[in-house]
Amino acid sequence: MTEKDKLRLFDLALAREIIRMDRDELLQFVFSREEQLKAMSPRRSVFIYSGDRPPKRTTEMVFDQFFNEDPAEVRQMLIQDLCYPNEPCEIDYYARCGYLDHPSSVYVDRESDSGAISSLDMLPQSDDPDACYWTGRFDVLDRDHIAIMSASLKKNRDKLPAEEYAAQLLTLRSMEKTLESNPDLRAAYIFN
Amino acid sequence: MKPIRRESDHPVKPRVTPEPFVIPDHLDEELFDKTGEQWYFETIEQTEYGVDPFGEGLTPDAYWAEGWNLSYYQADRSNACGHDDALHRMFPTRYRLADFDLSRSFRRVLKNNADLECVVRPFRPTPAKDELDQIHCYSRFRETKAPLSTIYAKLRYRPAPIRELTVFHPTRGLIAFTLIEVGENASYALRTAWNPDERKRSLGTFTFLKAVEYARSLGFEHHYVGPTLLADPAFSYKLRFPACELYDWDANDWVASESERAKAMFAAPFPRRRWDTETEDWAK
Repeated sequence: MTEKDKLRLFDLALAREIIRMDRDELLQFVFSREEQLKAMSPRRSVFIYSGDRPPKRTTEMVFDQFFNEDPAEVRQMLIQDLCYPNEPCEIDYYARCGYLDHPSSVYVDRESDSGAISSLDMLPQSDDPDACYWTGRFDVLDRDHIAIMSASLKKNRDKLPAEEYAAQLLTLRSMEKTLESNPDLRAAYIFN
Repeated sequence: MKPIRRESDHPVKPRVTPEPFVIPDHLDEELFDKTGEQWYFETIEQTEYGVDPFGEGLTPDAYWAEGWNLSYYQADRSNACGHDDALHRMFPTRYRLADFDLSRSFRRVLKNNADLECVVRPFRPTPAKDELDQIHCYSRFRETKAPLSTIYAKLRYRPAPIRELTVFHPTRGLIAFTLIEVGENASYALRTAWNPDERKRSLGTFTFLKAVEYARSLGFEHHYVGPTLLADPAFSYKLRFPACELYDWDANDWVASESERAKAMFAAPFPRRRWDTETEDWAK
């Protein structure tokens, strides 16, 4: 398959916090994370970096400009910049099919936070129809979904080169362990 | 400065764009009648090559509105199809979403399937979808089609993003799906499959209604479903749905399927001509 969907740790608690904050809280939050945002390469931190930003413009001015234009987009950008603790890894075809063919890829139980949640349901909706391109579309998965991927991978073990299989299984297992030990974290299945 | 936006369904843009050209209408269907004379039907079989799916100003909607079916670098349309050893008229079909009111029976189908879970997401071929597609194809059309994973390379380069509307049963898993091409102001149902063992659920109707629901949620004007062939129930079911329109090949416009004009369109025989082998010319 040519599509390279990716899996990445996702800080759901922080994302929800960013979505919940009002303007002042969000600005304070940006100040508190300013160094982290500035340390990111321009390509990654779309929020802090602005290509045509004159030297005198402060973070507050950039924040104001973006926020006045589209508050939902600011939240999306901050989620993109701050809610992914690790680098994305590609998901093998058989692993991803395990998830996509499973009914739990649809179940959304917002009360208990279980089941897959689409970014379309979770992220604030922007007035700009293209705004979702900041983050791309993704599903938020829990540990059980990763376990389903691992099981699907194991089931199709004979169809994969041994090294590829071992590397993918290791990735999935370490992600499972991380999710188990940190209840705030989820995994983002990113449709590439 | 905002970073360049990416279109997730079109990761790679092909660079070479051949010049477009159209194969003109031609006479390509032949029939020998009881006297042994050879007749030719006048049908429309058009293919436009070199359609740049990423071309400036190209919208899939404009092609669909003229009865074309778009695929990778190519657009096709035809007004004829063979069925049961006969040639039948075929009409591209669409629905006016603003007028799409659900009858009681359609509402019942939705209610009966309220236990199912549906999701619309970017299309990905999977083994379960492939298996369902093959089972469905064989049970409905008595034929097999190329697996989705095989045609995926072509599908992913279609001019508009493709979404899958996937239907899951809580315990039995995937039981239906439909692929929807999403244009600017219209959608196009590409392929649908459902589990024939779930016949009582009317999953074909259900997925159709959900696809319409999705198109309406996007504020679209029309939902296209490919051609209708009156003689074949596998195609003619499309006429059961409300606000249906058929493409009038003569007027190059759309007419309501319940109109007198539509009935006349279905009833009209193909113009035909006979080749006179003695004069080596069309018979007069």
